[in-house]
Amino acid sequence: MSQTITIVLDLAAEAHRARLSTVDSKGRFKGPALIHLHVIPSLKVFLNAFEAANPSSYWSLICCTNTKVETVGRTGEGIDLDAIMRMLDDRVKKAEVEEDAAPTTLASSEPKANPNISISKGISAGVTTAVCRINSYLNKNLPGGLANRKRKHETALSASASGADDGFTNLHKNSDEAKSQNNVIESRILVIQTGEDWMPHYNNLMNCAFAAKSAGVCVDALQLFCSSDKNEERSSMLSQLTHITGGLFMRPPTPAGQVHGALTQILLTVYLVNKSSRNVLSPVVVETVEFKGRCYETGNKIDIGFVCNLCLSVFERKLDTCLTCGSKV
Amino acid sequence: MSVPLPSWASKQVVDGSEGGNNDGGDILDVSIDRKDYSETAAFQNYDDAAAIRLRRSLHPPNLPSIRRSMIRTVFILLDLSQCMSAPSTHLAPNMFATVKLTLINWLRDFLNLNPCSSIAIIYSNNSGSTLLSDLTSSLPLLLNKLSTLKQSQCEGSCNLRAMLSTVSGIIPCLNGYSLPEIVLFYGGIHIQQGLGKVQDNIVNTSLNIFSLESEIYALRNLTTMTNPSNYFVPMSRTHLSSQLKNLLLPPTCSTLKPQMVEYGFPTLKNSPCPQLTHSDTGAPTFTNSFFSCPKCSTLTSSIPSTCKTCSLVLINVTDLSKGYRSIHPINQFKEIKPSTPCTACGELEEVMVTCEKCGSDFCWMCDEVMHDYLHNCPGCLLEK
Repeated sequence: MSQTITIVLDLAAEAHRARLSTVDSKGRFKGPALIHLHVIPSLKVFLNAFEAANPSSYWSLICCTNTKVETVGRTGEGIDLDAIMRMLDDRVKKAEVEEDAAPTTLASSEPKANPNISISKGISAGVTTAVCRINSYLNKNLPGGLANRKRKHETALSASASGADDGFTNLHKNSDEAKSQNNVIESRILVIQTGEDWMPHYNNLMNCAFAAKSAGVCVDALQLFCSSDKNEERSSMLSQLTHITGGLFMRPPTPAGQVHGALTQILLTVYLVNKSSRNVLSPVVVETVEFKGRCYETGNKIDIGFVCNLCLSVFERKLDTCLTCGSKV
Repeated sequence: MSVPLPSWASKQVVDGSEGGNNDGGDILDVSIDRKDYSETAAFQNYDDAAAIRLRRSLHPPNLPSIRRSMIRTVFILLDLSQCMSAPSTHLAPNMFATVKLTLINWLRDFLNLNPCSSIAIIYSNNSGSTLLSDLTSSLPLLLNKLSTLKQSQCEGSCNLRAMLSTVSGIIPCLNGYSLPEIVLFYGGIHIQQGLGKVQDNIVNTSLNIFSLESEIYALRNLTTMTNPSNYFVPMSRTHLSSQLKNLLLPPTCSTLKPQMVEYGFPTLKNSPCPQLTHSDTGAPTFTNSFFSCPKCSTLTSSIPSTCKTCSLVLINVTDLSKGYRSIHPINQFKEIKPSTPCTACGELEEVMVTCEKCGSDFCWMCDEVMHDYLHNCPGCLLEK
């Protein structure tokens, strides 16, 4: 079975990550990983290993910032480092402009803090582009692409309904049936997020998750968090994305776990294995996946909420007027 | 919807003696002669420019922002009279088997796109009405119940009045935050009993009727009493599937009262030791993955469901996000002359389109993926 992998690399938080970089007393870099110094070399090793392990494989690398999504590498053409550096420069300059425009709230001796420069706003656009690219590649090798897969399982025999789990599992099973019937290519997406979640794009990212799920595309995620704060939250969006599609989610425990070959080790040991072989190995298991809602009013995470029946907005308290659609309850 | 009557519409109801030799459990791919629906032509030559443009024309126009019943309550009424098991030329091998298989596929799509919904199934045979499945949002339970229906149960006549009475008895018990919807599959060519006062009880519902054999004036007249409503006469199995797809979108309802519905968002937990959990099938099961009710900590094996202890509706927050496709759909792209490569995949195809909001150009392949699966435009998601 041939494989494809599309890597979505987030460049949005590079300026913030560079500012947080530290060295220890011996002068060694302590992280977090920088794109051009640590992430790209690790990806090169990973992609070489991927090509060696899967001779009839195809890979592509998509970089995304808050304003741009661009394919910077693919099988046969290598990685366009100039394009990546251009995107990084644009992003760093834009981050500086955003910081200059932001009001100074801290003491003059401390750096200005602008939360926008550490937020990954381009992830959903990147994953959308990745799904489109996979469809385009499949369409050349399998007329119909993702649509052909879905149509196959729509017309497949489905008389036996007993033993079905839930709707998600059934769709996934059906796409696996279609795969075995068509002998199609196993497709994966690997998302590498370097900043924080951008919650307004939550629905868009979930749309990508459902689309990938229905087409049998597995989405893995690697979160390279920025600060040394060990209490920094795990990305709930990425963990939900991987849970829905049956992928792997991982976050290196410390910034030092992203540098000096550690990132390469993570990529090779966790993400190199294809999905069908993961059953015989011991993949990384996330013990809890958070599906808590977020209040549209306060942004707090909630276990129990009140949902407007017209616009499905979630609130932590029962309001007289929905803040989203303006309906009076 | 006005559909010209086919030539076989005037035949008498078959008495069932020519009934098929299977019980509708397995549907074989039989050749259907009446492939006269345009959707088939749209998929025959997938890459042909004419077929591409035909598929694009089948997409619905830009949806206006209008109040819809997002949390849906659907009653599926099935006619299991004798005529349903008779051989059918347009819904081969027979109407019962075709409806059952189409309904199974439709239920999967429906609960996938409308997870905050509940469905009940009622069938009628031997002039009676039976509640096959109470209101539930559990797909396995519904499919399980549906699989228990056999062709041998298609006997006697259908009592439409009894089925509608059952529905009208359940409606007052609902919470009132959704518009009750009725989807009726009727196989006869006439109604044996009058509907009487039942018609008044279903005025505030959305009535969708599928007349499987031919158009019936009484049923069409019934749909004029409710709003929104639809009346379909399928001409083939493919036609029936495509008509059912129209019901995947939540119905519009300008009179629906806004309400705040309490939902629980439980966390998925994985445990090395199996735990005893409630399931929708009724019997407790041992599972390693389970959800814990945030109110009373009762363990449930799957969601969406209702907590057995405190009756809190448990739902996955990701399921709510599916509803936004209906509230904020992406606009239809406009066809342009091919000049620049696709923004998403980089290909330059014969049929190129553009998003009028962000100005990005896409090829027809990415256009189909974005509108049918992703419901996202990558250009619109980026900052300007």
